Amino acid sequence: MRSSIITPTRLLLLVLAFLLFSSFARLEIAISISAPPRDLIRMGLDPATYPLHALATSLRGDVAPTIATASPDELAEENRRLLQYARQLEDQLRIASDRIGELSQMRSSTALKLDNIRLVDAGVTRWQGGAMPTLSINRGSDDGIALGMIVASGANLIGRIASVSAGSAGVSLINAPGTLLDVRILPPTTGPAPHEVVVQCQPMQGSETFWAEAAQSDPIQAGDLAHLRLADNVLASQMRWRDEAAGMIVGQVMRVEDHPADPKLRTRVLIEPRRKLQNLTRVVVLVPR
Amino acid sequence: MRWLVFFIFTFVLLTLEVGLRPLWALPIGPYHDAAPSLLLVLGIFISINASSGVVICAMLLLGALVDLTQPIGKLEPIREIVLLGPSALGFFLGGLLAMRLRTLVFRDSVITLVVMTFTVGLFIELATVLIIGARQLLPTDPIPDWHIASQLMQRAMSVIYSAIVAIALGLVLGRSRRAWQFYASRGSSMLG
Repeated sequence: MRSSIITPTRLLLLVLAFLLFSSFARLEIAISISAPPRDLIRMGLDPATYPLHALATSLRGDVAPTIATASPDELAEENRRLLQYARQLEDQLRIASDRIGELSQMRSSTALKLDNIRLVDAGVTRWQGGAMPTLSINRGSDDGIALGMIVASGANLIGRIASVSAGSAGVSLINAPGTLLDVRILPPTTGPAPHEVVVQCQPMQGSETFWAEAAQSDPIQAGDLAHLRLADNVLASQMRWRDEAAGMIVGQVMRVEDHPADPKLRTRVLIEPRRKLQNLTRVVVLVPR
Repeated sequence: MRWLVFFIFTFVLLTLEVGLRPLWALPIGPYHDAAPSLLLVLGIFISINASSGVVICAMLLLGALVDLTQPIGKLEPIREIVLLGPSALGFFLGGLLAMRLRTLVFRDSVITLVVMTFTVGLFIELATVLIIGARQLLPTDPIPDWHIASQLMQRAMSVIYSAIVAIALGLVLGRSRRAWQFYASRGSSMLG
């Protein structure tokens, strides 16, 4: 007669072997093994233990703090570790707050059309200047990133994906040589803009600044924002920006000066990205759903 | 044994043990933080009365619950180290010892529960400390600030404390003995 493979004795041996493995595994593994059942138990127990815990604590208000038994050296060391940890947490909190602010700014922006866009947060792993400035990010095709996708920092346009692998991607920045951007220059207002000027800007050699030509009569002022405009008559050599890039901020007008060749009729507008491209640590990739 | 009764008692006692820990944990001295283990008393009560298979299952479950609710150290200021295994194995060995000893005692007596809680409790804690101590000897990452001597002192105090609490808890468990139906399950042992 065939006997069952799983007998109570074998099951017990399996359980004991598992417990032994869990007891002697590396801490990270052991903690990750115990985390799911522990969370489950906490979820079941917490509603009942919290009131008891509060009652017990209120009854024993004179409980000596645990640090009272430690030596001064241990206390100082513990204090140093806690302060260091608190600083780490504050840094992480600040970064997280910045990211939340940027993402909510993007979501609430009326100029951007992000209804069917997934925002993929990515860390910048490398910045490369030179003739063709690029960023490397730590997200790739595994995260749904593909060539041509828009990369932003808040509502600011940073560039687009130029190369992609499974776990990383290269970003061609907006100030890459030869880039021509159609922009609408608007005053920085949340309501309807009183006027707008459409110009074409291009990066200055070896810098993050863009320049554009405008007429002397155009009402452009320092502080105005340059928003990307999707032009239909894009040069054949230029890859058209994706639709979701429309309205993103290319930069801010820093200065309006007379054009050297035609100072009476034309002006030169200098536009600077609001984020220093080489100082970026995190960006967002706009992935269509 | 009625497992429903077991789970109800386990839930109630675990809630009391965890929730009231700030009230009855020793606040100072070398036995700092020593607190009674109600699950230990429950485990001993079952070990004295239930069939062998039930004892083994119940002790493994109770030991695992002790493991999961009592961190043995801290990796970072707020990250607790929880090892699933040492207490479960300790409770398992304690259950085997209790089944050996129970032929020598009066099962219905509260004094038996107190004495067994103390004796088997010490054995369980010793086994638990030895398992964690053996882990500390391995070249893997040791648990920070974990010392065998202080652990033994603290855990021995917890066992004494548990034995004292077993007097009151024993009366309650004794009253509930009929609900457990220990003797109805004899002969249907899981492990024979």
